Amino acid sequence: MGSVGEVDEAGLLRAAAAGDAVSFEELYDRLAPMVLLRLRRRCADPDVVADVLQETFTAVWRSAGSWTGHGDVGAWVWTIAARRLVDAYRRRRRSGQELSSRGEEHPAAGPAAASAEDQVMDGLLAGPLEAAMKALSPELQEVLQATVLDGLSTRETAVLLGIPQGTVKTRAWRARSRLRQALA
Amino acid sequence: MSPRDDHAQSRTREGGWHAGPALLAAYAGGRAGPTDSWSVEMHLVSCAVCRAELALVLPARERADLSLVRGRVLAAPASSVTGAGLTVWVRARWLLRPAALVAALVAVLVGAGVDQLAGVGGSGDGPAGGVLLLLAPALPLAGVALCSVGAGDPWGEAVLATPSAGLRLTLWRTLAVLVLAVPAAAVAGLVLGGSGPVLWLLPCLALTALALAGGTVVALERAAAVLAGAWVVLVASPAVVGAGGEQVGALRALVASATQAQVFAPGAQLAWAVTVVVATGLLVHRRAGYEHLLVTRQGGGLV
Repeated sequence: MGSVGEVDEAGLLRAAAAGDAVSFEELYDRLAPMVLLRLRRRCADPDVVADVLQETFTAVWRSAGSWTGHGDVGAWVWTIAARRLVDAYRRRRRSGQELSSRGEEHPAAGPAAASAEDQVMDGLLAGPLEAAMKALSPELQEVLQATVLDGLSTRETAVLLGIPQGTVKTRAWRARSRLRQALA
Repeated sequence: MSPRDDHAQSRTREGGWHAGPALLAAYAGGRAGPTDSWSVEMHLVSCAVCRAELALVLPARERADLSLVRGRVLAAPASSVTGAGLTVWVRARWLLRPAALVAALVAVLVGAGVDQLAGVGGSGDGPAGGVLLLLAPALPLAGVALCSVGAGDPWGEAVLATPSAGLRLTLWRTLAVLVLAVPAAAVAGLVLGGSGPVLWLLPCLALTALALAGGTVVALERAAAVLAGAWVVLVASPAVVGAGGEQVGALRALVASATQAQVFAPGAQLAWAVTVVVATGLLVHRRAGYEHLLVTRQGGGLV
């Protein structure tokens, strides 16, 4: 699973669009791990993550023919996943259930799950930017992640994090200026 | 530089940057810090080599979830999944949104019915078709309200995949509504003995363009409903406001001389033409509002 064969993702997607289920399965095996882990870092509820992953790849299969052919297939799939995640948050919020977008409740996300050897390795990864990022509050980090990394709009970020749009803008501005100061 | 360059990353393969096994393992285990996680995520999107490496270091829990979801995705019937399975008829049905067409036609029929009832109940000496003429510009809004790409819409997938498809689909559906509703209202007007669509075509286009522009801010159905209400107020208020206790008589006079109504005067027609241009400009400027249909429409409004 996940081996890099001769056919690239764009070729697999085109074959899937033509109805080739085997190509779609190969595409899933190549892209789903990345999407799953990325969703997991953004949503603490494993059931929601599984649902969003399923909806994402169903949408990828359904609309495989509408891919423009520009850019990376991986980026396109993640765009769909990010929108699906925002969608899931909106649904949950309407039905009165609150989701935590941070990973504290996710057992595998905490440092406690790491072996001693892993912890040593992870310690070696720390650098100045890492320290600056860790100095940011989780609220500022999650806004930066949603707006800069995931490319979500202010409105979508507000839905995802459950805060007003004005707060998203203020926090994004504050996070940037803090980082600038820390790295100057 | 930090020690991470020696341990976690490598520049060996293909000369480019790659996340090393230690970094990928830390990321997969949920132990990587924010900066490293973000670097890995940005990189994975475009690097098949590192994606393959990542698949090899997945924790057992993630592997289990992946195979579970894999089964659920593949269990969906292929015909409903691949775009190739959709027949031309099914595609056309969703492109046109039959419910919107029916709603517009029903609105025209209701307008004609109210017109007939008003003629029966009134003195009967005024020209028929007055009520229909006054309502005609707002009638297609009943169909336009249903043109948005909402939940449960097969084309919703297309909107997610290609954001610009949201506005394009809505415009196609709106065009279909106008192509059906305008001639229908025109024929009804002529049959009832009123005038053709010359007087009400521009206000109709203005209301439609305003509804679509409003659809970038609130749900399209809400924008259409508000505009329909505003149109009725705009038409009736000049006659009713100054009528003292004679509102019914004033309305009857308004209907009797519908072709002379202020909203159809030459000056007003110019204003409608300007409105069409301005609203279309607003729609183009704010077209991003249709990119997030599934996000904004389900809740029926803004966050």
